[in-house]
Amino acid sequence: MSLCILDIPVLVLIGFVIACLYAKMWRWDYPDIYVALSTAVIAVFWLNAVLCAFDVIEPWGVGWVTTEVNGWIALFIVLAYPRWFGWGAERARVLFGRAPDQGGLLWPFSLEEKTRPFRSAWHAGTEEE
Amino acid sequence: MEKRALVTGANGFTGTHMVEYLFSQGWEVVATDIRREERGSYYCEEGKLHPSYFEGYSQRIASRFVTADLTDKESLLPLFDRQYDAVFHVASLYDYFAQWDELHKVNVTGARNLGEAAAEKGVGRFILWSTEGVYGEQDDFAIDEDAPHNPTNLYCKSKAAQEEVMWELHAERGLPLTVVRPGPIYGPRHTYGVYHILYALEKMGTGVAISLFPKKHALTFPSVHVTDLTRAALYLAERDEAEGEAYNVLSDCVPQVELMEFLFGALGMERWVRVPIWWPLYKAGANIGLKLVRRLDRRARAKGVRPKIDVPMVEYITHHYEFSNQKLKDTGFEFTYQDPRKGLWEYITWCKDRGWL
Repeated sequence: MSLCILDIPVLVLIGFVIACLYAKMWRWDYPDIYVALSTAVIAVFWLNAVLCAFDVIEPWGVGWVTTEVNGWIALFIVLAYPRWFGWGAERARVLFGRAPDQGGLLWPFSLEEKTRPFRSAWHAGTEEE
Repeated sequence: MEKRALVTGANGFTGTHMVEYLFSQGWEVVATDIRREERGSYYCEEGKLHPSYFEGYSQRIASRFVTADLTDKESLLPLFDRQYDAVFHVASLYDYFAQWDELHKVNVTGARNLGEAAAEKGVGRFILWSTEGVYGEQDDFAIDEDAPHNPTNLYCKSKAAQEEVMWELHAERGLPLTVVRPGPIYGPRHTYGVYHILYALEKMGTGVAISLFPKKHALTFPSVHVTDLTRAALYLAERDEAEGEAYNVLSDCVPQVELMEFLFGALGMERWVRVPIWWPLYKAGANIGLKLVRRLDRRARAKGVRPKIDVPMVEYITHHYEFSNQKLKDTGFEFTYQDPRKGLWEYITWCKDRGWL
């Protein structure tokens, strides 16, 4: 089966960019958009792989970055696409934070506070604060 | 007979704890602090992540509260219309963002004013709050009370200068001085210093525990729970042999990498890594980080805002600090929180209860 060897780096990059945009811009107004976009991206890459496997279309990058892979190994590689996408997204979360109350490793290096306050995990205290 | 104490900085974090502890031990407490409005001229901001002012807190506990400004000698006179068995000089401008003139005015001139008044009127003991920061970076570890002073930032320089002035008063005017040098203090109501570390870890969301080699350069984490500090202060105030002496007051220093891993767990951080780094490489990286933070500090000052982390806080992680608390232990004092992890666990729980972390 033919696979484009750039599929994985591109997925990592797209995962990183989408997670960056989500952390910096979208998570406030569109909290569900990350799931929607990531599902769509993975679906496109999987659809492309399936169509290539059944010779409906040629894999992108023919003659340049495609490679022939044994069917079962190819299946394993294609099923692992979400993991690579997630790996790229995780790099962005390390930099920009995972939740609205986090700013990631870059948090100390900005002057503006854009993160939200922490939410109390519980409140058991009775003393005056 | 009930003993009487004067506590300065009584509306601050440590001051409120000192007043509470003295009261619980049956002392009559006279508390003093400046007005909130006057305090605002020294501190650029107030609230979480800044030194706090708990207005009215000590007034409710102390038998008498007197508003006074250390920098105004006249305002101190009403404080000394009675005798004190001990004066706990907790008050200080503890702000890494403050400029030298303000630091000197409060920490040096203010302390001299109070010390002179105390020496003139006669007090049983004068306990001065200094800091471990007066030692700066040293060649030998663990640093004990005889180490020379080599402070690295303006606040610590002001505290070193404050100590010099007070030791002069001790030698020349007979001020019965005992100096406590606490490590970074934490505990309920704490908002500036150790809290920054915990807050920054939560905000960053990813932990990096740096394991340094060769092992002799392994950084340690000095700290003290406010309860231990107030207990030690009173303990020393009541011991004759402590007069004319200085004491490091801090829990046992634990390796920073172990402490960080403990904090990641205590804060519930799911993602953290332990990175081994060669000491010279770490120093080089830390100095680059320090330069970035200094640049950020300049930008912040130009904009009239405050950076999230003050430069000296970053300076602390570029140096190897390890202090000895053996002299205090040798007097028979027992820490409640000898291992700081116990105290930090309680403090983190306290913060989480309030949504501070």
